Amino acid sequence: MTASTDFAGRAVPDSAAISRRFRRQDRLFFLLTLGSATLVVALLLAILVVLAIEAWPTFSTFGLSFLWGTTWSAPRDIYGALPAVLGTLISSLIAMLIAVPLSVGIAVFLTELCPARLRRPLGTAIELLAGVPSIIYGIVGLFVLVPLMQSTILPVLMATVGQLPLIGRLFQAPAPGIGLLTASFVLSVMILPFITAITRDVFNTVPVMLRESAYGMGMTTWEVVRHIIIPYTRLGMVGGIMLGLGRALGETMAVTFVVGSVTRLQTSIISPSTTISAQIANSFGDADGLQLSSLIALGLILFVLSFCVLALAKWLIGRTDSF
Amino acid sequence: MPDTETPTHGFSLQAQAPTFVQDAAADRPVKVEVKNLRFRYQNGHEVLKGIDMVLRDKTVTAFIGPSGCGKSTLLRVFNRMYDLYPGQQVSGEVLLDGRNILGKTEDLNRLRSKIGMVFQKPTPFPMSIYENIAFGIRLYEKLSKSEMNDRVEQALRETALWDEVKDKLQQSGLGLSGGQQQRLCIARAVAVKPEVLLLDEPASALDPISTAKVEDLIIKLGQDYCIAIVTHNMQQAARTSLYTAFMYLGELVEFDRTEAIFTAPKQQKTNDYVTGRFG
Amino acid sequence: METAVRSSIMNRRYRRNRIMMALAIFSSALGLFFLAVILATLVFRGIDAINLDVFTMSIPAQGSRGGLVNAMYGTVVITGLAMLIATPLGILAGTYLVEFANGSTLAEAAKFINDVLLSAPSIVIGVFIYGAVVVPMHGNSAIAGALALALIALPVVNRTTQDMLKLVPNALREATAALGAPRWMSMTMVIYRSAWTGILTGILLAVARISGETAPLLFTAGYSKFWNTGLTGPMASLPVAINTLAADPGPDLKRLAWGGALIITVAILALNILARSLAGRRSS
Repeated sequence: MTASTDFAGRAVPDSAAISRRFRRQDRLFFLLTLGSATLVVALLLAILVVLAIEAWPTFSTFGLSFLWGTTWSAPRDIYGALPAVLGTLISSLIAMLIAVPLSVGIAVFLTELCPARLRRPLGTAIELLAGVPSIIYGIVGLFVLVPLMQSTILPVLMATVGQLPLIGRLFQAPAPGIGLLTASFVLSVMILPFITAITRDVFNTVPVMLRESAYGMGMTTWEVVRHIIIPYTRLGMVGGIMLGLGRALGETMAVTFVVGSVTRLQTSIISPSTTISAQIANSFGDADGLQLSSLIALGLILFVLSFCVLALAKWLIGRTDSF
Repeated sequence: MPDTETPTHGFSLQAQAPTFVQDAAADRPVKVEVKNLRFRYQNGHEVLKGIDMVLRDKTVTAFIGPSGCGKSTLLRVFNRMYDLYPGQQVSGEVLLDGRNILGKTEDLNRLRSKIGMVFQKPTPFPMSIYENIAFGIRLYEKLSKSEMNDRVEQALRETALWDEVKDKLQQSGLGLSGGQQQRLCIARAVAVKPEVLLLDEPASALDPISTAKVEDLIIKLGQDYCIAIVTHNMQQAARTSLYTAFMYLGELVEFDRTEAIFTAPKQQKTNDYVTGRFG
Repeated sequence: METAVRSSIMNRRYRRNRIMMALAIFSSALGLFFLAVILATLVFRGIDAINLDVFTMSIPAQGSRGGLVNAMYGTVVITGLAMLIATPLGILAGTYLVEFANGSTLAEAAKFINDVLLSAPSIVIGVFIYGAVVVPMHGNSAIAGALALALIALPVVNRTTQDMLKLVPNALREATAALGAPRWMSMTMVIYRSAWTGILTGILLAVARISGETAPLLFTAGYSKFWNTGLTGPMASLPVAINTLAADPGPDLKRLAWGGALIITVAILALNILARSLAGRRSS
């Protein structure tokens, strides 16, 4: 390598050597980024592998019947997932039934009705609701909502809906205030801001021209929402709702405090019950052997459930992109 | 003097002295030679279909033609910018001082440090005006503080930006006006003393006054650098360049002295384009 | 006759519109009401517990003086450690996916996998770290807690980095390359700088999210009443302390739990507001 000199005879840096150094550095940088991206993928695999290994004793003992086993008994060392899985699914479903209409209502208010001055603070307030840690929902639920449920809401429900044929049974049970319905209420408040934020964002993607031409035809605000905005943003909304559902399924602390942790199949939704995450949070600390393995198996089921919901949400949102 | 038709879209050569240099010996030496260059996108679409041409040293060469004719693509072959994107295929030769730069082993960082480029929209880096210039210099040279100050000042003077920014060198380059940003980008490109300067529609995003300043700058820099400029604006090509290449659908239709292209084109297609019949 | 029909139709439409809009307003009021109830409850129940002791003393036994300083310390240390791990990894991974492999099938798969991690239930992350770290290390540790939180923050930082890098115009990448700059220098000196407010917003939101997490810490970092600074031993955090103290029958400890709840909520909401104002500055 010959160092070249400029016209004044000073040595000028060898650009080929500098460039070689650059290429080495770039190679290193590339490998660092590649390694990090690979790590993310490897972590997902590691989660699946670790959970599967730890859950293996459960599946080798009970086989797939673990999934629909209804008994969860540490003294008898028999474990079935159904009560927790059903608790998770039912509480999430009820939470969605409450949260979705409210979220759409708030999104309509934010995008169509709200004075411009209020839009930002109100949007921030709803987003702050999403920032509140889940443990806070748990203790506020336990110390504020549960007494209210016990003293007022549940008796009223039992006296009214509880008297109806068929669905009445769901509301007939001793009601200590804690239970699946209470958990559902807390969950609905928790996921409300998530669904609202996404719904508002997809509402804002409706072209102004479309909106204005609809109003220009003399449509009322509700008609514009019902016939223009919702059809236009349907898939994006459903995607947002699915993401909210994903959060509801996996939520732990908010539910654990108010669900009651009774691992039995219940005929009523107001009775103390359990969910997958509450079951894990409550029993994991003292569990060992087959019980620990079964709790981890529950975790695996929860992971698969939330994966399916996410995949569905992505698929739906992806379809909106190609609209 | 050949009889020149008055172009339909108001194109005028009055500002341009119609001096036809007939003697080829007056030409500057060849800096870049393009031989049978073909270029294909990832999707298989061929955008350059066998281009042969030369860029001469210390000369401005303009590339004109309708959108999609491949003129920008050709420009981006000269500094191998296409290598940033996977799957694009190139064949043929581009000789820089007689050496083919399309080889697999070509040192791209070094090549690009010798071939400056200025883009359609100003691309100031998110750093101070001073650092915008110093960044490129620092890559391949180790200068003392005072040497660096000199180089930065020199580059800013060359681009007639010095008087406008000398009191705010430490402010962000993003705070300049569009025209100033573009001249900053040109200063950044010339600061590293490149051998070739590629200008990809450098004035298309600028207002008329800034455009005039940039064009003056191109004419001035053309005395020292081998410059290739892609432009949609035919007055701009006429005002700034000595040579013009007219491209159409991936082919080089005509390549000649700018005066010849605009006043006595040999091809009907060229005539139609420069007189504004299409494009 | 015709106008009578018309006006009855109009009346019906307007009535329906009024009902629906009233419902929308009611929903919004309800949303604000929920936020107000939560904040009011925290303030009313927690304000009594806020005194100097809370910030200077560790968690007491029922009946004696004490505070939450060890839990606050734990939250800061575990969260800080988690971000120290997650931030560089997340930024580098996001860089690979957008800058080096964008559009390839593998990158799309990796992006999807990152989104799977992003939405993974936090308790499952806790269970995973329990099996992968706590069991081999024979016990709860601050490190295990930090790894669990890092695993939650990593996909957030990764995703934000991807989104923000996609917003940086390609011309800037080309302009840096055109000077002969190597890729890493282009990234660190130009591209990250262009995207930094967005990435920082994402990092702050990740901090806000993980510092309030309880479930992934229950069986990883665990709980301790004492001032522990060792990273290989159990370490309390505010959320886990709240979880433990709120379930305690002792009224003093319950009050302390509310105090902790007020502190963590105010801190996290402040972080959220900071992050959003940063994001707002970028968009304006």
